[in-house]
Amino acid sequence: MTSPDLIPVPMRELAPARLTALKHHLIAEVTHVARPGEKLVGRWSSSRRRAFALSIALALLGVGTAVAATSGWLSGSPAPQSVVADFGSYTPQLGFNPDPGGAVQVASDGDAILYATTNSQGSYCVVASLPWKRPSQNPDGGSCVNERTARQDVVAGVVGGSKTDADGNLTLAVAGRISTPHATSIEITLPDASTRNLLLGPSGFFVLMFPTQLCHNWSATITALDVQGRRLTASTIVLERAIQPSGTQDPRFAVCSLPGLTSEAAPSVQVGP
Amino acid sequence: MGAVGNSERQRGHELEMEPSDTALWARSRAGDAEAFGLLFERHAKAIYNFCFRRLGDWADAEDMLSLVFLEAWRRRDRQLADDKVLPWLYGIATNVLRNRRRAKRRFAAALRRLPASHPTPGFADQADGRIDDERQMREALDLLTQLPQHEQEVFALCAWMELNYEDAALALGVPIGTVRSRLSRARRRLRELDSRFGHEKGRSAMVKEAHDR
Repeated sequence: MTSPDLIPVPMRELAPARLTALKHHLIAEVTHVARPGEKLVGRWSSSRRRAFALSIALALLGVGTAVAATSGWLSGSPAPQSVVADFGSYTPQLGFNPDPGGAVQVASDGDAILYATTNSQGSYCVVASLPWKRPSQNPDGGSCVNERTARQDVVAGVVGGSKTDADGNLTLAVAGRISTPHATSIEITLPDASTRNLLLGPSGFFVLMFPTQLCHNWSATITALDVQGRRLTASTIVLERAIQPSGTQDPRFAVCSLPGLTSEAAPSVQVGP
Repeated sequence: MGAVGNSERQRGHELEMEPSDTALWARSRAGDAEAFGLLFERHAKAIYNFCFRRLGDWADAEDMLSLVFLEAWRRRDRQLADDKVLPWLYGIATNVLRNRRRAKRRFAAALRRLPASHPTPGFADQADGRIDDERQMREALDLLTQLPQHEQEVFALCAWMELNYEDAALALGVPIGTVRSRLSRARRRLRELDSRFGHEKGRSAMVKEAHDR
């Protein structure tokens, strides 16, 4: 029988992580489009882009800079039940009341996934799901950011670290949020002075993991970039501090301070030119 | 019982309910990006494989997959009959593939923002298989692309993606009778081409497979 219908090529799946990344990309792109038939933001004419930028500026003038406090700004795919439960276990005595039911996935980097939700204090809280600490197995309630910190253009902090090996190597996870209008990606300097570029997830969040060694005095410079790669904002944030205990100068005994996104240890932020 | 518009799926003793395509499309039309994301997750494999069968390149197929869904979102004012989301997506894919350059221009910024692809352990093992796929697919396409465009499209949808005549007609925006006649012509031409080229070893994976069966 001669039938040309069949080809010996199987139906293949995209790798699950790739499918998720493409889905997030798609959601991030389509949320820029307000009405059917409109083109995506990258194809807007320069006059429309200017008009859009102007409307954003006017809106910001109108509502101050409390973008993070506006309800409805947080978007992403719904978080799994384990993350909802994790947010639900947050200790209110720490000063925040996260909304567990509103938790959404806002960024990812390989096996690291960042979830966020709003809180009754007008800011947001995050839970990071990391290879060595999953919300289903090690819930910790997450970290909340106070309203003043949330209003900064660039917010970042260490959200987790793996156990160190015998040589002091470990993986650190850093997360944060860019609220600068038109920012679509960031460039971040790592402790070894190398840089990494990351696309921002829905609502401007990011998370990244990288191998490093403890302990550095590390101030990360985080630059927010627009779709053309133009620099919008740069902030230098202290993400790691080596504190030498009294009585020793041996760096092996340094205590490492990793400021998180919590209000109790908010990172110092300097908004650049 | 599931709510209207939702479908149920049994997994062991566990009952899962998931929104139907029709329900997700209705929500997408109202601007719900998350619902659209679920549609993407559900149909990505079919569209990805369809794009591969038209291009012969997995990486290009991945780019096209994104373009197809971006274009579908742009056209989300379209009202679709029940359970016709996938055939309609095949139609969008056919148009995007037909006008690749224009689609790439339209969504150039979105394409630039596509996350970089990193090899995934486990899936990297399939690399050899994917290279084989591409070689075989290109050989098949060498033959298919000798047909007129509209016959290639009908053949790819009906023969390779196994769409029925009605769905293929919806995808291509032509009457069912046209699908039938184009498919019949495509098969006849391919048989003729097969007799001309198909006996050369390796000339066409598509034909070679048919001989092997």
